[in-house]
Amino acid sequence: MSAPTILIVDDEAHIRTLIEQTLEDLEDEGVQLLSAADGAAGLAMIEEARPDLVFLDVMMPKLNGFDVCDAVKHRLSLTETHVVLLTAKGQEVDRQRGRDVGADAYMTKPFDPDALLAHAREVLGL
Amino acid sequence: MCGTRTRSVRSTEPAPMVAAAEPAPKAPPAGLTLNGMGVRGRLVLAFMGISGFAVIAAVAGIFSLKQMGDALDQVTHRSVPEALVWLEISGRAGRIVRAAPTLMIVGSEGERQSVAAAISAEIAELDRRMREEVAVSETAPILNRLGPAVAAISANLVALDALVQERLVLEGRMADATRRLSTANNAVGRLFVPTIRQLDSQVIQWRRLEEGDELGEAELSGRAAALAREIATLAPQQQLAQQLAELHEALAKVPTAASRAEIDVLTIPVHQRLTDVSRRTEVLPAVIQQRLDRQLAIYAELARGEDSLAAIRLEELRVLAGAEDLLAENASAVGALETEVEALVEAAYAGILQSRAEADGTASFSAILMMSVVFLSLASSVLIIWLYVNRSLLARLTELSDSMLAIAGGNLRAPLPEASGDDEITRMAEALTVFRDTAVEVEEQNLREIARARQRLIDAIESISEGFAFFDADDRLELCNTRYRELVSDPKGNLIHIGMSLAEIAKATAATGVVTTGDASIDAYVNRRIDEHRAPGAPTLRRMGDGRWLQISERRIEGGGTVALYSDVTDIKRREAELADLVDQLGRAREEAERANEAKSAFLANVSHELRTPLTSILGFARIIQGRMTDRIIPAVSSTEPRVRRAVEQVTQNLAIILAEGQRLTALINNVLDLEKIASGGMEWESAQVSIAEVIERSSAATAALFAEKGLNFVLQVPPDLPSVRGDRDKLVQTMINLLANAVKFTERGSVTCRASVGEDEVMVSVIDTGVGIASEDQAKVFEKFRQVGDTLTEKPMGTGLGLAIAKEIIDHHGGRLWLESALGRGSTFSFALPVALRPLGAAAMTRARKLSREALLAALAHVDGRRRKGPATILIVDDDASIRQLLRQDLEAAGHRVIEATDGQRATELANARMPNLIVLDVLMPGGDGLEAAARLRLEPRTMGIPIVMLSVVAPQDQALRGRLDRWRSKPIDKDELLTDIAALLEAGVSRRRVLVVDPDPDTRAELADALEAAGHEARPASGLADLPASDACPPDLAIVTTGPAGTGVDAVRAAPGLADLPLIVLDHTSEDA
Repeated sequence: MSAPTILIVDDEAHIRTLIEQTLEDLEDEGVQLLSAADGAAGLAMIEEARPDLVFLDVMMPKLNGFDVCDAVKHRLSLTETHVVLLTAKGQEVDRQRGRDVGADAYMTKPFDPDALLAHAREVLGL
Repeated sequence: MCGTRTRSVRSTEPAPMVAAAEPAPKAPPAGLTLNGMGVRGRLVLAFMGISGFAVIAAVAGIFSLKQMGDALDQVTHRSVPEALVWLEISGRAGRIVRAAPTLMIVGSEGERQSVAAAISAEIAELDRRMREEVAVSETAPILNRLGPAVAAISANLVALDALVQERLVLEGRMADATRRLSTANNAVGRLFVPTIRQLDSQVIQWRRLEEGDELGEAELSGRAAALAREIATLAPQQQLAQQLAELHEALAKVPTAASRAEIDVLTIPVHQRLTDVSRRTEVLPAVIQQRLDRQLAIYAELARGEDSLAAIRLEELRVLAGAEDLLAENASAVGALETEVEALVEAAYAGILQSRAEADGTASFSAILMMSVVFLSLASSVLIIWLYVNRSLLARLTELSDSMLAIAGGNLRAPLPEASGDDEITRMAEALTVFRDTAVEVEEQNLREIARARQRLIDAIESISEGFAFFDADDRLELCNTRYRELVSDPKGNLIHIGMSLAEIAKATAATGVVTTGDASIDAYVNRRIDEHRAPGAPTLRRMGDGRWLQISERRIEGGGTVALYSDVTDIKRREAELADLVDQLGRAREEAERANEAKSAFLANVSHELRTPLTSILGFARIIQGRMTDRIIPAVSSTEPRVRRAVEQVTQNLAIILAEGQRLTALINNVLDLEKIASGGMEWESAQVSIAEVIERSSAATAALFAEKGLNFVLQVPPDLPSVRGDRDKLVQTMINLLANAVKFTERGSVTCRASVGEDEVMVSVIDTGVGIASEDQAKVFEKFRQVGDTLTEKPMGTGLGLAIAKEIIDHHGGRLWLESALGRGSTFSFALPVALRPLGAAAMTRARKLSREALLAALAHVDGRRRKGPATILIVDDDASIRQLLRQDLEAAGHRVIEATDGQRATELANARMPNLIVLDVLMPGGDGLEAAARLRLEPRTMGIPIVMLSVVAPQDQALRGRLDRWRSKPIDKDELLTDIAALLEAGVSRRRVLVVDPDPDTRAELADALEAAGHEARPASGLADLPASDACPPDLAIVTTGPAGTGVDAVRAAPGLADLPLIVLDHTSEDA
């Protein structure tokens, strides 16, 4: 069993940095952090690296987060991959769509870094 | 009206009068008038005349009857009794005549005496009556002739009686002699009988010996010789006996001999034989001879002498001959008597007939007399009526009634009978004159009234601002006002005048160009106008030649006329056109506004997103910096330099400010979005049972920090048992938080009180502060969006300014009201009231609907199919009570199952979606989310709809329909064994097979959905539309999937369909799919 891997998919570099810094502590504990700047790259990386946890932005160029999640859960049937949709779209319609595409959790921006870290710990069992 | 009244009068009142008058011929008026005498007096006189004749007729009748009675009396008193006497006498004579034969056949002396006495009595009575009658009767000569006849019969009967007496004596002697003969004969017989018997026995003995073989020939011949000797000795005796028998026979015939000659023939041989026998008696033994001689002496007595049979028989014959003579004599006497009696009866009949003839004569005379009198009486009555009553009364009455009829018929000028005399008829005629004069006066007055009314009507019509025209039943103009003429450009009457037909008017106005017809020809216009006129409907419009518009309203009236009103609507038409322009502009403006609004919504959504992203960075990094500062930098800064330490403190404070402001900005953005969503209808609302107590509790917990920060007291005044309301729990909590935060914000000292109360059908919550208060002129503004009270230039606005507006929108959405009571400087009270949820825990809790795209539905269903259970089952336990969860976990893990837990309905649905448990144990009553709601949400999620659910509840559901939709319902406290049995059974069955109603107009979609449902283990019931729902049966559907939008129907219509009101509903929305 290799080290646990977390993938961060967001087109905003600031946000990627923010999440990376939030999860900095986990890196010290051996968790590998990966990141991708758009949906297509994210999906390719999921397919290749099979991360345990994905923080996935929704509104991204090339491929949006819903489609990425749908592909992961339904096309690739990677049901063990825990997908957290992390988006500024906080309406119930969006949450429902998230559930429909099989997302495991839904977090809205601006997020609480502590909550995000706690969630990651829970998912990874650390 | 007048005509009707006249008809009714004519048909009723005078009718009897006419009928009475008609039979009487017309007579010249009152020729026999007796002046000074009233109708009553005359009628009395006539009555007395008629009555007098009737009395005379009655007297004549009585006289006739008296005459007839006398005649009948004569008959009854004289003729009838006489005839009766004669009939009686004749009857008695008849009886005497019939008595003779009776006397002749009597058999004893007693009988003879009684018959003879009866006859004597009869004769004596007859004699007496005859003598009586002779003394009184006029028919004595006949009676005198009767006397000798009766005397002869009487004498004859006396003689006859004597003979009969003699015959009876002779009969006695004859009977005596016959008896003696018979005795003698018997005695003689006894004398010879022993001898003969002896001989007979010897003969019989000999014959027996002769036939048998006991004796020899010699013996037999010896015996025969002895027998012969015996017979020879006995032969003379036998001969004697024979002679005596013949003697007796001859004597016995004598009593019945019919004549003397016959007697002689019989008696002469008797004498000889007697002599003969007497001589031959010596052959007999002595004893017998002696006895025989005695008997012979008797025979001799009977044969000869006075008492012999012959002598007696001769006497009898003599008496009989005498009797026959007497009877013959009697018969002739009777014949004479009967002849006389017949003469008597005939005389009686003749008397009766004569009396009858007399009576008949009297009767016919009386009848003629009576008829004459009655005829005279009738004739005089008729004469009285004819000459008197008719002439002086009826003729005048007829004349009077004719006048009355004429007046009633409306002819007030009809001639009236002249007054003649002083009787009642004259007075009636006078009264009629008065009546006629009054009627004439009334009529004249009525005519004046009518004229006045007509003038008023004309004045009124003239005063109407519209043109008025009245056409009669033949469509001719009968009445119109000046305005009408003005409107059709004809004030001087050059074009239109009274009496013109509508067709003529239409033609004239069209031909002169007064009217712009718009029709192909003038005739076409005229025809159209007539059609409109005859069947008037809605008002019609007419364009006039000078550009004006006329509106014509026509209405048929009863009796066949038409009223037409002409209005000048030129101004109205102009304004209508202007208005249409305005409406058009408004529509365009509205469309623009809507487009702008949509753009604003889109803009707001985009801006919020664009704002969130940088905010995410700002807040996130600030939080990280804060953490790094606290965890790493501050401990690492060992500098004691005051400036460094101050800088560190400032950085820490600044970071806190950045975070707070960032959060405020986030809240503002959220509020703006919320308001926008509420305003545009895009907000999604939950609908569940919401406990108000829970709302207050959660909101006070959320704002506790605010109170602590400002050092304010928070007072809760909440009664127990607050009812539930129906609505969105989170939004109600948000409302409450807004109110509390608002109160804290404007209160520097004192307290904030939250008070709840229950009304009849609503629950009320108030938040009372002791803050600055709000001036009354500002109170209306507090609920407006983006407004805060006060001068925004001098006072820094606090908060977003949207909280109250959002609160009001939320309360409005729940059907409640939010209001404010406040005074400047005295604090404020914000209150809201919400309607209490009337529906108890029941099927409604499961009544939810969600929208879903077809693709998502199919994808989710496809996902289910691959997730059949392998290995141990996963069971989700949902309960807010940790001890219950622990208890269930132990039991289920002991049974070999894997257990996951959730503490409320919301998390339960999320967890169920994420982990797909094989079964869910769900508590009904939980604070974080109603269990039934969670069950409904699970049911509406295609992936989880088939997961069996065991409901746990302290109360049993009243609603049977609800119960039917759940897999199992177990009440708390939990019976472990029952629960494990349920769970084992449900796990064994696998996915619960739901009955799903699929309503979609498109057959392909329907089939596709049905296939997907069947593949996921459910039962699909397809229907093409709401009108095509399968008939309700014992197993109603568990949920329905209905397509709405352009291809299907609306959600409201779905809910209105039978059986779908309470059903969990998945709505496939084609519109959202397109979007």
